[in-house]
Amino acid sequence: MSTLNDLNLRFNPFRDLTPDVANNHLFWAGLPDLKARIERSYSDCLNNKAKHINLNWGPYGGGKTFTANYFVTKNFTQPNITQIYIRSPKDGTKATDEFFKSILDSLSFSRIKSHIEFLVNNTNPDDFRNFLITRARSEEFADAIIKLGSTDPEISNLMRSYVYSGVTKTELKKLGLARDLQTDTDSVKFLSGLLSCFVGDGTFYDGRIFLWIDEMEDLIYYSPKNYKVFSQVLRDLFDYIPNSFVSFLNFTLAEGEEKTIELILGGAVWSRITRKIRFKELTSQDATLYCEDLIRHAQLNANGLSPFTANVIQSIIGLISSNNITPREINRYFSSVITFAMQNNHTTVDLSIVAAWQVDFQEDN
Amino acid sequence: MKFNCVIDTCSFIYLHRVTCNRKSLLSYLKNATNLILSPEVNVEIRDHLLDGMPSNEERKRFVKIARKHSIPEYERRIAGKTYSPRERNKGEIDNFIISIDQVHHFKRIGVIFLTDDSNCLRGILKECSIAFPTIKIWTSYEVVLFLYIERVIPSIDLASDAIGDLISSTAPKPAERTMEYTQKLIKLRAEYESKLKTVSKIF
Repeated sequence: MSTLNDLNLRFNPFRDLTPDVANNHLFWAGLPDLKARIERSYSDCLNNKAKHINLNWGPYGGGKTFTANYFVTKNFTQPNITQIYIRSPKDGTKATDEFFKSILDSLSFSRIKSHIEFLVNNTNPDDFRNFLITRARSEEFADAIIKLGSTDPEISNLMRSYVYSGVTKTELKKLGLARDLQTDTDSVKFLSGLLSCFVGDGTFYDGRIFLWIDEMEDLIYYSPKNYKVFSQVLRDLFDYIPNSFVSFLNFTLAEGEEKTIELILGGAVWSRITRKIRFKELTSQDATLYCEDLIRHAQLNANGLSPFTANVIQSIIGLISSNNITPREINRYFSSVITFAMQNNHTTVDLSIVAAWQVDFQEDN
Repeated sequence: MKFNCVIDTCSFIYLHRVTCNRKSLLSYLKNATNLILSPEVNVEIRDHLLDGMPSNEERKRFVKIARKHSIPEYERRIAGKTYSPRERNKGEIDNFIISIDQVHHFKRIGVIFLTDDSNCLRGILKECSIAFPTIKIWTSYEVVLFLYIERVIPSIDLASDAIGDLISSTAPKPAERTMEYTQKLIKLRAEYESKLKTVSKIF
């Protein structure tokens, strides 16, 4: 049995059939136009404090989740960038609560605490409170957000309970607050105020937020009643943060048109979408570029398309159904070829090996 | 004259769960059609009796038995065997038998076989469901269309919400969902939205 190194590969570049955030080799291959469109949203926000709500839609395996992972883990040179990646809530009856807590988890309580503490220590208290009141539209929640930055361990622990599980009346009194987070509107107000702390007003803080919400197609499982509540939450959140904010809504649609997505997302969210980015099935040319980029990125020693050749790449791509050429399908096919080559002690992949692999692959699929 | 709706256990439950203007779709259907149950389905419903469902006493009115042949004889002719009470698929088969008997023995017209069990239609009833063209096969989604056409559901928005509620109330738990199933539901939602719009043109 040969190894990846014998095949002139440092790692299997096609190994991820589902995107893996822990993958240290996240690398953008091919699809330059798609990448450029996402980058434009980022640069517009970074440079011009723009606000965008993007809809990323396309087939299963088309690269939407990978794109989220790629950009969320990318190092930007600009400071004060906050990236949030969440999946859409699965339980429609608790959608707002799940959404609220997913965002807190993505930010992490310790980061929230240290950031608010920094703002409290470096801002005029009245100015900061007034800023929060404007953004959270509530004095009570502005005060609660300020308390998130408390250095008193007891207050800090109580505030952790406040945001995650709720507090008793006695605990509220100890915090010096009059209201707990009780309704969906409370959660949205609190969240708007909190996220605004990561945007600032350009004077005491000048930040940017990129919020990725994956698997938006799961809204199909919400009852209309729950859906209306959740879409209102999204709408309010999008409206309450005035600038320096970009959201990407990933939506998988195997077949159908944009109007189907409009039906599932509903008018309130749909009308706020500013850009629609289509993740299409790849053409043979797109697929070739995608494969070549990945192979070159993973090569041990730069050497053409080793262990493949241009002909071999074409022949493998040609085996994928033309209406289903997605990064996931390409990864599935090429990963299987690489495994087959290693199992059969090869150091290159030529057409005869592809022919032998094909017999195996068809039996297994 | 009302349609005759031979309703399966799962559809009975789904239509009971979904409400429109504070009344269940089942209660609207009960008023708009002659509901019919096979004895087996009546027993199955008893096991799942929920608050507000027609009581055991009330459901007795809906139960019909076969006349041309006995139900076991129909089962033997159609499925090649007789089914024991509570045996898998007996409810669906017996309901289909009642449907056949209602149309072709009693000469009733407008008989609907209502089920949301697509496995049954693809499996045990596959041949029967295409061999008796007089029996219309509906799912609960067709009930929403019907109630909208009849203006029992007064607006397209309410009908659309009812479709959404049916999808939601019959959805598997998050851990059991698959991408294929999600896509199937999205397609179904779009299809019925389109059908509702077509219906709305006649008003």
